[in-house]
Amino acid sequence: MSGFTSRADLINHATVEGRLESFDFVKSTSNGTLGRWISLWLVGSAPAAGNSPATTPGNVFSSDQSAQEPGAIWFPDRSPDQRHLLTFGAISDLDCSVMLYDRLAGVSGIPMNAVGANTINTQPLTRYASGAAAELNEVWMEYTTVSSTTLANLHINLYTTADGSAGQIGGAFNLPSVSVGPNAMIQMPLSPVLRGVQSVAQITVNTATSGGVTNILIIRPLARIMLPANEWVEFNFLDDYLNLPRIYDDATLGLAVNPLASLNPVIRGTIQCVYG
Amino acid sequence: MPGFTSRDDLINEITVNGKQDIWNFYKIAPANAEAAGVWQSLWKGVGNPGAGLDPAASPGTVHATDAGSATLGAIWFPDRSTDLRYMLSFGAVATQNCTLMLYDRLAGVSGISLATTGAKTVSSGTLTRYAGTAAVANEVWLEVTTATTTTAAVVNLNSYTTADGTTGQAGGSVTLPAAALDLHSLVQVPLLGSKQGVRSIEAGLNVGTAAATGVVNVLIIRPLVRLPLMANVWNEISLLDDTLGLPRIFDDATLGLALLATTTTALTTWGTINCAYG
Repeated sequence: MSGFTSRADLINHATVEGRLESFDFVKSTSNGTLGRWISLWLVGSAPAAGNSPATTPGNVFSSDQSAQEPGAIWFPDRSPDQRHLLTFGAISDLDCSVMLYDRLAGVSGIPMNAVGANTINTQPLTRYASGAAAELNEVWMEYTTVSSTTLANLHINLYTTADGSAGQIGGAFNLPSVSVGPNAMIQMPLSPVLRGVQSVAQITVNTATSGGVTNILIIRPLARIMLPANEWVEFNFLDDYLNLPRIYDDATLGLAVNPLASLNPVIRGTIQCVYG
Repeated sequence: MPGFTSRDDLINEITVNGKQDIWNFYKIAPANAEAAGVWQSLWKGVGNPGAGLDPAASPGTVHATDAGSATLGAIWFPDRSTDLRYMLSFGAVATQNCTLMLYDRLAGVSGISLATTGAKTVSSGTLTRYAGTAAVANEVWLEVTTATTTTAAVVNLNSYTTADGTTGQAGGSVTLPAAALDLHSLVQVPLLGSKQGVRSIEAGLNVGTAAATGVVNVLIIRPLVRLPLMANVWNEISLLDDTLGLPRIFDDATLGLALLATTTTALTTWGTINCAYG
């Protein structure tokens, strides 16, 4: 039987059986912007800077002891045990919030400088693939080339929801500013009635901007914490918030930061999991 | 036996049985807020969930949402009966300082004009959650759908049914917070001083002083949790360990978000609602 029957059982797994694992990270923000999520995927130093995914149909991400995705926080396969996030702690030199997510799929090279539909055609997911498991998947832009001049407006105009409904349309939205720099992460609205996402086929740029190229990602947020400058903060998902997010085998974990000023926080932290 | 016998039972239900419901929300405020200190509805903001719609005109809409019949704009969870679902934690970050409220949207009636004086028929439908004496924490709010102009309207409930079933009750008056009250503003309407809650609103909303223009939805809601947010700083509250509130989230709950603004600037918020059932 996988999982933990009680708090005592979890402590037994962690201490008697040694089923505890952690990953320490250090990331230096680039192009930090007040109030905007900024991807730490394409910056170092631990794990080292990752790469943008391939162009359409892009990549489906997977990382473990035998094949690591550059830039990913990863853990060894533990099946049939289940791994759960126990604590997430970090310190930053500037006020910010930090998000830990599982990077499921991505497509690069989507331009924002021309009105019209762009083919994305993400590949089938290998984690959180369908049904209830995909209900918390989200679609985000990850900017790679700065845009300027005009406030872009866009929407997802063809995607498949968690329950397998194809051809769905997300709400149109403006980018948060005329100028959007590399590493900016911007969430894209989904259907008002159907949850989650399995794949994205197309996005449409309704109002174009100058320049602007983005990755389109499907991610699964796992935890978010707040970091006052220079104060270690650690959240416990057993005792602070009984949540215990599951970390699947092959998880390809990434980080994003939402800074309290247009500055570039450096974030050091640790992710600790227990499996059983 | 539904519910949880202990913390260990909760851990077992979550990790062994997978009995966890989570919704990660993302809302872009539909417009600038009216002013600091005025509530704003996020019901019509795009994001996840997407933009919602107004309820029908009198007798309006009684809201119910689940996997088979989603309501536009609602945060919802699948039916889990005979298990009971409780909210374990509520966390969020927003781009402006604010207080965020999560509520269950029980019933609504649209098209109530504030541009003329007199009693306006609401005749809200029979509630399907927090009905009967469970209605003690239900509240009445106005959600602005056509901005008011010229004069700050003054309104009160003049015929509604309290949680204990007493009909024909009248509440105190409230002056809307501005003469020109923006779209999406939310204003709570006082209830009777001596009796709790509300089951329904009948001949309902009296406009004592009219604005030149202005139309509202009249809503019956059940607030579930409120969370203070400093701009761009994640905050999360444990309803098990911080406040031991463990609000129950019923099957068919139709959850919405609202914010108490500290500035007029439109904000974006991201957050998570974490529930366990058993």
